[in-house]
Amino acid sequence: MPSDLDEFKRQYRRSLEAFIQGDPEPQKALWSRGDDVTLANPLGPPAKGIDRVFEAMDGAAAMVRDGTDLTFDVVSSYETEDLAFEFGLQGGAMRLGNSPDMVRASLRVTTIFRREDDEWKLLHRHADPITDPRPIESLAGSGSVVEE
Amino acid sequence: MADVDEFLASVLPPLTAADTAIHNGDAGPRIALWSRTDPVTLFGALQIKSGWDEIAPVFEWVASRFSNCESFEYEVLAAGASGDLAYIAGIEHTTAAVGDAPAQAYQLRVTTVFRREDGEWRVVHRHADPVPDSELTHAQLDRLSDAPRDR
Repeated sequence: MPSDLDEFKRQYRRSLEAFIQGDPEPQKALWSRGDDVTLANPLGPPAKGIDRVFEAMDGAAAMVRDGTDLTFDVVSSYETEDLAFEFGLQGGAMRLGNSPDMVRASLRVTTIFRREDDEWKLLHRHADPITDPRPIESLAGSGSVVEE
Repeated sequence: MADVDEFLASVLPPLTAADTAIHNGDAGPRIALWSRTDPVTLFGALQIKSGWDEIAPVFEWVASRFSNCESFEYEVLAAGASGDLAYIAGIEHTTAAVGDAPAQAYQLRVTTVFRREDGEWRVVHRHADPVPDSELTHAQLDRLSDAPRDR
C-alpha cells in the first residue's frame, strides 16, 4: 500500500516541523506502542519502549524552538508489506538551547516504519549530526587530514 | 512478519565474526556480508558513503587501522523482519586497538538493515554513531585520525 505509506511519510515530515518548533506531540501520535520501539537521538543513549522514547523526545523538543525551513532529502528507501525503511538527511533552521541565534542544523536519519492493523507507525528513528559538510571536525576536535 | 528469531540466528554469528575480524585488521568477512546491489548506504561513525564502490574502501581502511580486538559484543536492542528485509537496532561493544595505542573499549549505536538475496541476508545500510556522552568512544574515534574516518 504505497500510497498509505506516502501519506504517513507526509505526516512524519509535518511532525518534524512541529518538533523543531518545540512540540513533540504530533510525532508522538505517529509512534507504534509496541515494546520494541527504539529511538537513538543525538542527545542521549538509545531509548527502548514507548515511555523512554517519549521521555527522550520531550528532552530533545525542550531544547529546540522557532524551527523553520525543514528539508528532508531521501538517500534511499526500501519497502515490504509490513516494514519500510528510509535513509536521508534532515535539515532546518532553529534556535537551540538558550541561544538566541538561528542556526542551520542537519541530521542523518534512519527511520523504520511498521504497518500495524493496516496503519503505518514509527518503529525506529536513529538520528545523528554526522553529515557530510562537517564529519571529522564534529567528532575529532583535533587537526585531521581527509584523504578523499 | 517473517521470523525474526530465525533472522537473528542467521545473521548474528557472521555479523559478530565480521566485526571481530575487521577490528583485527581483516575486512574480508565484513565485505562478504554486504550486498553489491545499489542502493547501499553507509552512515558511518565519521562520514557518509553511498554505493558499493565508495563503501568497500572504507571498510579496508577501517581494518588497516584496527588490531588486537580483545572483545566484541553485539547488544541487540530491537530487531524485525518482513519479507526480504530485516533490521537490527543495537549497540556494538568493542575493545580493540587503533594504531599503536593500547586496546580501548568503545561503543557505537548501530542500525543495520539487511536484504535477503538468493536466500542469504546481506547488509544494505549501516548507520553508526558513538553513544552520546561516551568519552571513551570519542577518544577511540579520535585515534582514527590521519585518513577518511569511518566505521
